[in-house]
Amino acid sequence: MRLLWVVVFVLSAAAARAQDSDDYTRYELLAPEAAQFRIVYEVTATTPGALFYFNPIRKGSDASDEAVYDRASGKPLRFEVVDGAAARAAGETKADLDTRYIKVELPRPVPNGGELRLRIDKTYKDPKSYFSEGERVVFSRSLGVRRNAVVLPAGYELVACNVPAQVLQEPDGRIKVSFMNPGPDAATVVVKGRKLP
Amino acid sequence: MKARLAALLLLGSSVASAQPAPSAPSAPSAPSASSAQRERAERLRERAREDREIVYFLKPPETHAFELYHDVIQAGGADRYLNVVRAGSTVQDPKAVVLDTGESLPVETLKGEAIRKAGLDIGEPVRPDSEVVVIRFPKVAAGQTLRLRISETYTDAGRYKLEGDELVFDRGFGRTRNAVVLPAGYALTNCSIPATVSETEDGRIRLDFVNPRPDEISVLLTARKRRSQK
Repeated sequence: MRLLWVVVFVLSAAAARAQDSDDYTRYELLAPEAAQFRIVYEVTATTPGALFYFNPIRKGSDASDEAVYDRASGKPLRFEVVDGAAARAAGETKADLDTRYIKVELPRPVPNGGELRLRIDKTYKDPKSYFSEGERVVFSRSLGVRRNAVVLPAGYELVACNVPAQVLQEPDGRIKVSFMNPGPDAATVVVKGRKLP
Repeated sequence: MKARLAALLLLGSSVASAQPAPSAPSAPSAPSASSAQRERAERLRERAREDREIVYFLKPPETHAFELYHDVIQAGGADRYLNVVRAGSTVQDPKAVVLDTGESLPVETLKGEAIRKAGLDIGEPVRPDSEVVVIRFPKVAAGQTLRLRISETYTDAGRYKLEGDELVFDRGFGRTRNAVVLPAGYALTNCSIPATVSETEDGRIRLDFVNPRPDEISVLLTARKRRSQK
């Protein structure tokens, strides 16, 4: 009888939309000619019993080099890119049918009252969000995640950032801006770098 | 005394003279209760309505010097503004302008014993190295206000210096709005407190700090001279 309740609980939870929290995104701007940036997204799945986690791929961005890790064990996780219909069928009931998703196979069901921490690594190509203006690079993107960092390409200095941000030099010399958005809306972030002489 | 306390609440480290404030509700006579009331009033002041702002223009770091201007509003009853120089800093070439009219005001800098002789209350004990910039103006009439811009050059080897080839600026800011402009030719490398970043028309890097909280932010920023990449 107890086993039956466990099975019912797991199946119903898996069908529910996965909840998440604690997310933080790091954008690493790659060579500006390619209009590509690496995204390292840390997120915590919190839906009890969930077996999958769905991460949308933003429309207008071409994704590549995806990888997903369990942050507790450091081990890579299996995933596949699915369309919105497949995401809905797998339990992401509010999935947008015009959006593609990274469907992550969780290594274990999210514990009741617990969480499962993930790192999703991917590269986007999006010339509308990341482009050059003469000797400058511009990263202009609406960011819904509350905690973010943007790392300039090597050899660039920071010349503009329109949201209050810490400025921190990485060990390899790259400049990072790091910021939190406590407000209710997405932050329309514009970061500009200029190539050093 | 109440007026001076009110000015201190408004101006932070600066002191303005003012006519007596309206009588406060009957307060307990015990000093501890009065102190608690002052602390409570300080913590509950409306931060967003404060009109004090400051802009620092850093000179080459080997000089340890930075120009600055700060703006303040003086309320009815005030007839002078005392700008107490932070310990460790020295001040040069102070100027004051009434922003409402463009009129320049006379300023004088007093140190140590001269402060005591002038009978000025700077809101803290007068030490031999105490320094204060005194700006006098006709008493502001009741119901009126005066907006001042004070420009000065500070030298502070402890808080602004060159460490190796790295510019280091390390200073606490008490105002809601503060800005720092790097010297020409310097690229920003670190900043401990969130700031927006922009370029001035002449290509210098400017950082703007807004602190909505009623506390001080401790800003540590570093920068390096631009040079050819190896």
